[in-house]
Amino acid sequence: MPGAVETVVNAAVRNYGEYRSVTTDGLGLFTVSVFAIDDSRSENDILAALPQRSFARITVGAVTRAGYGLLPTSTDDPDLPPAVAAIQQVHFDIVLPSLDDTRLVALDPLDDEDLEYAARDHLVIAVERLLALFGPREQK
Amino acid sequence: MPKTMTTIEIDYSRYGYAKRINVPLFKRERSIEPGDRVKVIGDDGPERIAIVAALVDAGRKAILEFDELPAA
Repeated sequence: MPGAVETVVNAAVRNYGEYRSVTTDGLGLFTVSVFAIDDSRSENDILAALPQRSFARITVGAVTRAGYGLLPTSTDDPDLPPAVAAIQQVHFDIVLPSLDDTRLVALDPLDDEDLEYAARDHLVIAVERLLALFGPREQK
Repeated sequence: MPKTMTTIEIDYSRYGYAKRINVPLFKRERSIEPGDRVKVIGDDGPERIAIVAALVDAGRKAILEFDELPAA
């Protein structure tokens, strides 16, 4: 698995259960965290708030035309640094296709190594397809 | 025999430069205990060492504290 794909899949699996509180079916969501540029927050604002050394761009249209969901989400953790708290209003999650596995209803994937591996295989395909839509990775 | 340092991969987009973060743990990572030092890696961010400040949610999440902020 290429490094970027593995990183995105790992994050999607780790954060799956966090979304149980925002869904109505009790399932979590597999997502990819992104920030949007709008009139209130520039690309520089976003890049300055985050420690990643590189980034890539994608348009909202490219995400939705490819069939991925896009949810406005934010973190209200009081320990967030001010610069990160300030860009929460432009934080979104790209929603990867759900995994049709009844074990997801009752189990937390983080608890079940087998399910983690099942989800990983499913997610690699979706993430590879998604990352191919992004522009080239650029250094900050 | 000393414990092997656990590596935890985080999504830096969720935490930014936070000095204290709350991270869901995989079952395989739940051997960590308060006071342990863990290696933290993430999406093209710098590798850092953090201390396990506390375990919460019945040990399903850890609060990690970094000694230093990553270079901007």
